[in-house]
Amino acid sequence: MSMTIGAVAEAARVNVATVRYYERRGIIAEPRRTESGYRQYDGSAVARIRFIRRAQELGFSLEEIADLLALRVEDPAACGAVESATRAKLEDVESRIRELERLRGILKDLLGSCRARRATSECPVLELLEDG
Amino acid sequence: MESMKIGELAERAGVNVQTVRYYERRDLLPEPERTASGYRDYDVDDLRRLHFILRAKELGFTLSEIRDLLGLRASTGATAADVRRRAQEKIDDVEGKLRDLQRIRDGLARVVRSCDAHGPPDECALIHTLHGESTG
Repeated sequence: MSMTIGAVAEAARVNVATVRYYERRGIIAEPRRTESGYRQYDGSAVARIRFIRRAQELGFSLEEIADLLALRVEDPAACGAVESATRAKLEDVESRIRELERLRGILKDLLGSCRARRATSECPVLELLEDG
Repeated sequence: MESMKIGELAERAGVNVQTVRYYERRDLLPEPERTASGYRDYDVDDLRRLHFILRAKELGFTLSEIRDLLGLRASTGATAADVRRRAQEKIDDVEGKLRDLQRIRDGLARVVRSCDAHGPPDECALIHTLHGESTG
């Protein structure tokens, strides 16, 4: 299936400039060109752009996303390097998960205090920074 | 309480002074007290707040979401229902982020496993981890 840049952008819900920007940054591949020079994409570009957007919303930088996308097992000899890079990302993701779980706990406590009509401190979310 | 000028506050948080002023303009940080000579005068509460803002940004919250989070507190006043609603919205938001991160984690764990198994080439298994309801 072949798509124009406009169709890719629409399907991925971004604008055309974003697609070009990702291309310049090397996060999505340069597409093939038609004889008349138009960029010609296939459906995998849409999946890739959606992944990039969502990962950005989750707080990953474009560099980190490029690292994530580059992780794949092509050459068994390169496995050691891929595995250690993957484990590092895995630790990063797990620490984000732990922090969000703590934030959820704080928000749930707050909700409980509301229900019980108990006042909380001035700014309960700051408890996120305490060790725990 | 310990008092510091804007330069020290920024340095201790690892940001530049413009960032502190910007957060102030966006109402994420309160207007500070002023010293007798007119300098902005901060304390450790401001530093704590600034650390929270930076951490929440890394977790993918926008500045306006962070302002909402910082403004959430339960009081015994009449606005309890409103605070409950806003807290519940944030909980839903956090749970959406958690689901996506758990998918990424599972995708990463699969990459590690296929390495262990010396399995066949896996064309970026991660891209498909965020499919489903979370494409918006």
